[in-house]
Amino acid sequence: MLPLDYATKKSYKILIYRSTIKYGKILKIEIPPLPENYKVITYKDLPGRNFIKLEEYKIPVLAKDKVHYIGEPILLLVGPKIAELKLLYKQINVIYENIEISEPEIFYTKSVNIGTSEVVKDVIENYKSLTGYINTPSWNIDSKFPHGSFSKRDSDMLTNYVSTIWTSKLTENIQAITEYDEKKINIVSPVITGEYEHSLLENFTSAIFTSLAANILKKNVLFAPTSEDHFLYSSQIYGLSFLWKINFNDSNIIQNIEINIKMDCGAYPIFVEEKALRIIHGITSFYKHRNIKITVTAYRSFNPPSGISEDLYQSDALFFSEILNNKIIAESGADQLKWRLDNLLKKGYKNSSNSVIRREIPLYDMLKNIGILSDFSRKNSSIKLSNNRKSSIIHHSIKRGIGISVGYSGNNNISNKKDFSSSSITIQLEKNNKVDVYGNFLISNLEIYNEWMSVIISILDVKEDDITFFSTNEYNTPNFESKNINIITPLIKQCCEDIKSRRFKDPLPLKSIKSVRRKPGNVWDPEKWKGSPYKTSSFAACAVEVEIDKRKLIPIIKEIWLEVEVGKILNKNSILKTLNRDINRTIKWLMESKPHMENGKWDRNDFYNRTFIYAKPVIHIYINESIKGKTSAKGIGTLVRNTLPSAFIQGVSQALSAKINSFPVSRDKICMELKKDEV
Amino acid sequence: MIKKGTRFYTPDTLSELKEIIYKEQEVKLLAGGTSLFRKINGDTLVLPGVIILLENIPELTKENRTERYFEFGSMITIQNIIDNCKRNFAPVLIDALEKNAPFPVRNISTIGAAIANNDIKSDLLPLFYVFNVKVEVINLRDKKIKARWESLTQYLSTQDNRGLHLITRVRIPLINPAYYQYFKTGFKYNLFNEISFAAIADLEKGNISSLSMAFNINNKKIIRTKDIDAELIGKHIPIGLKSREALIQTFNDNLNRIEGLEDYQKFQMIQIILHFLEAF
Amino acid sequence: MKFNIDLNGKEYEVDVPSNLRLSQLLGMVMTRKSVKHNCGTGRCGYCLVLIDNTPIYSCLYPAYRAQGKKIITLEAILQKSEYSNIIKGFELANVDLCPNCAPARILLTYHQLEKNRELTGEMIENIIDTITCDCTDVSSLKEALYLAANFYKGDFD
Repeated sequence: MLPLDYATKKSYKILIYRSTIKYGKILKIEIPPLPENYKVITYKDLPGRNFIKLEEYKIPVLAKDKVHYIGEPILLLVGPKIAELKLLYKQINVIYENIEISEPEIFYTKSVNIGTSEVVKDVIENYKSLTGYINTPSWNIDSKFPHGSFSKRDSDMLTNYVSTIWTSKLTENIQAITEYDEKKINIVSPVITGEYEHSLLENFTSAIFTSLAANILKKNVLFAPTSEDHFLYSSQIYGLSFLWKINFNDSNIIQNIEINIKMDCGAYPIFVEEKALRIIHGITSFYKHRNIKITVTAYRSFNPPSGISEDLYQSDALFFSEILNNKIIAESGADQLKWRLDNLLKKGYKNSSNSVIRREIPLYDMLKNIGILSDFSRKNSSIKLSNNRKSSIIHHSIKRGIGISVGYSGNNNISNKKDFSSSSITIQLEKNNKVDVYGNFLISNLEIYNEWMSVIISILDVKEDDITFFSTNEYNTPNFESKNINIITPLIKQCCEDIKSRRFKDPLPLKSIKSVRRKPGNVWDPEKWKGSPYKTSSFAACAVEVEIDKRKLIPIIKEIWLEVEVGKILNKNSILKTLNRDINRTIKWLMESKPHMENGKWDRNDFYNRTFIYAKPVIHIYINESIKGKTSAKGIGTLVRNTLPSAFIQGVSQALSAKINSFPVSRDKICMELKKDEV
Repeated sequence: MIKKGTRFYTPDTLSELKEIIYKEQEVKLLAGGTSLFRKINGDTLVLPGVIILLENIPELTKENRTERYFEFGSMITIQNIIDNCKRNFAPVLIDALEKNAPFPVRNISTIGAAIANNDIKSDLLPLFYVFNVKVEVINLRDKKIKARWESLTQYLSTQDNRGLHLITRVRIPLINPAYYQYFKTGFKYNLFNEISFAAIADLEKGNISSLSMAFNINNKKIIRTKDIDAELIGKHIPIGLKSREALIQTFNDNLNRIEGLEDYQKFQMIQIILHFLEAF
Repeated sequence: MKFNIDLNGKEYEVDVPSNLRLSQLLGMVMTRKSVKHNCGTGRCGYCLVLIDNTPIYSCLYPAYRAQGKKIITLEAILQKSEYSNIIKGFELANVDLCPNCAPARILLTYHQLEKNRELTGEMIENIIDTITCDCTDVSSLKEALYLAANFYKGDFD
């Protein structure tokens, strides 16, 4: 069931009147006389405040006097028949005054020096320096469950059917906007998986729209977004643009690296700091280079607001870091695999935040393993050889390339925001040996339930029947950290151990409350860039073989070798499934071109006739159970997205024997590179 | 007040159809309707004033088989042809029909519309060209029903200024070429911004004795490469590496004469022809 | 425009604008939850229904044209034992389809199995390619379809 499946036949529908210009003032809104039962809602009709509040960011519900992007909601048309609403829509006239778009507004910058900061200065005369730029692709946040919402009025209760798990925040927002009694607002999320909270902003806005209309009109209201709403006007993740510079000293060793990153946040930014910190950490995470100066500049643009995704630019950062490595390797003429193996961080080294790594990182073994499994060295050198023999008479109608990469997926909120990381677990041991577990978690699958059970049973030595879970069935946070596995499991463990230690000293019932808190010695401080930011990390290594048919001019993935390290395996099948699905999505991310705008209008033809990507590569997945088997389970998170793209791009650039800096790679570009190659 | 909207007609015979057309001014004939919906998409459809559904006319769903050719009524669906003629047709033809669209679309898209639709030129047209497919056309604005067989070249070249007409039958010759290829760029079923290509050739001792090739660019433009065909007759298949460069030059010269082609499209076309000649 | 349609064996009279697509009629006007009007161009396949026992994308079909034809949506087979057999196959293969594509996939599988109980590789490819939803990967879908075919025949019961 989807949220909209609860809608009744007679419920009222919503049509959004959207802005047609990028940036301007609203001078006048002309609304035609309305038939009975129909209503146009403007910002004046809002009972409460006119913005959605997430953390410290504010997003207007309906535009007041200015619009900031094409598609910004100005009016809500509500009525029983959608056809009538469409007629009304045509009669509404909004007069704008265009405002000239000046320089984009910069509202956040963060600069970090990794390694000893003194050397970064330009004291040493550079022997040689390399510069370049890389743009990562932007993408639509593709949720498995389409956003849309249905608000139902039962006597006094206002029930909203919408797919979100951050219900507390949504209730708070609805209360503030509609001034409805908070106790009477009920949110039902029919599909609870916890995995797909990508389109958070869309779900929030649609739930707010329907509850607002339901409150004003005293009717049941549903909002079903069209595909245009979904693809053109919803929030997106915009690509980053990286500008980099590497300085070498006279013996051809890297002296320092400077990276400038620009981040487009759309018209209304959200979670900017979190994104920026993840980028910085991603770039500097597991290779040895030091003396890096990274600056992230976030600016406002006149596009739909940039949303959140599971990885929050972590994948873009890792993507960039691997491409940068590739450039360094190409410059030094070293072997791809060997260079990577030599330069990976290991136990005993210092990580980017200057603390010593105490545990063994499995990346080295995994990379080596993938290198052997995919026969990387042989393929790589043979492709290199054939590329070097350009003048030979052999004609290749297909060009090949192979790439290899490593990545990780960190699980935590790195910006240390209060809003995010408040989860707690309470465990109570009763007199009759019964155990009650309270907390804000979601039991989304049986495996995680069994895992928690086994933890409690093994530590407290109780019977399975005696354990009861009382879940509030909501998260207090948006879900981008595989919370069930990474946060809740350790909390349960801590509670149980606490109770165990007091068990025969104190009288029953025993109660233990644990919430997310860091040890004082290892505090993560994003300001000083100290400590270790992620609670747990899972790792992956990947090799990709790419083919470019000269007739098709599309890079096609032939074969993928992927090794992941996920701690304890709970359900192998579901891991395989998730990985396979993620591979498909990642390929889409890299290859799907976005509909483009011209003169402030979307090219409709372009939008409806986007290419369909039917990539069916041969996939080999190897799951690496933790080294010692002691580590608990970790989330897969965005491992595929963090590793596969860079390997893919390496493959493409090898096949074309050219540098590729922006994505998706167009046919024009491929053709240009291949023409150089023609006999 | 009369409600404004599209009127639908479903005539049962050809003469009934003619009567309707005599009465109405602006009509649109709807066979499968897939292309109409693909073109005028968006959430609200903008339909023409009068739509005539052809599916009830029995003449248009007949099938006639002889030793030399098969004749299909224009309302026979593509999937129907695939199912019924898998054994009789050259594999290249079946392959092309299958690559045309996913099968729920093939279930409604018809062979007649694939040829008659002028807005989105079908991927199949190059293949029909090289197979020398013939069509039977009726001019609907004429008073008498007068059917005429025309070759596809003839039909397509005069399609724009023909007025309202109807393809009643399509004749596909049963030829089994010695050497053939059908190729479509892009991923499976992708329609727009792609190139489709068809070629058949007869060989005598490895030398090309007759050759016919055609391209469809972006579903907008059909290109027959007659000059290149003529150039290639007598050449040996697979072509030698030495003659490669000279061939590319002639292809380039020929393609440069055609207007409205992007650079990368020319590159793709040359690669497609070379691939065909290299006998992979 | 008023006309009658035959949906899942029942006759209904509808009064809708003439430019409505069948997917919109079934999904939005008649609120059949198994038909989802999504892309409107025959790409996604969420709107698949059977008309006169042939699967078609209902978004490419004018609503009026369905007059006098037998339309079957997933709702018609929900009560049949074949439906639960197919579901069994999907469950065993650990395939948990998303609410978007599930109705269309199951209906199509049902249709194919009804026509031909031996699923060939080609048919399976057909079923998979017809609906493009990336909620489930290809290999587990294939497995699920094979299992569904087996259960359908009742071999494992």
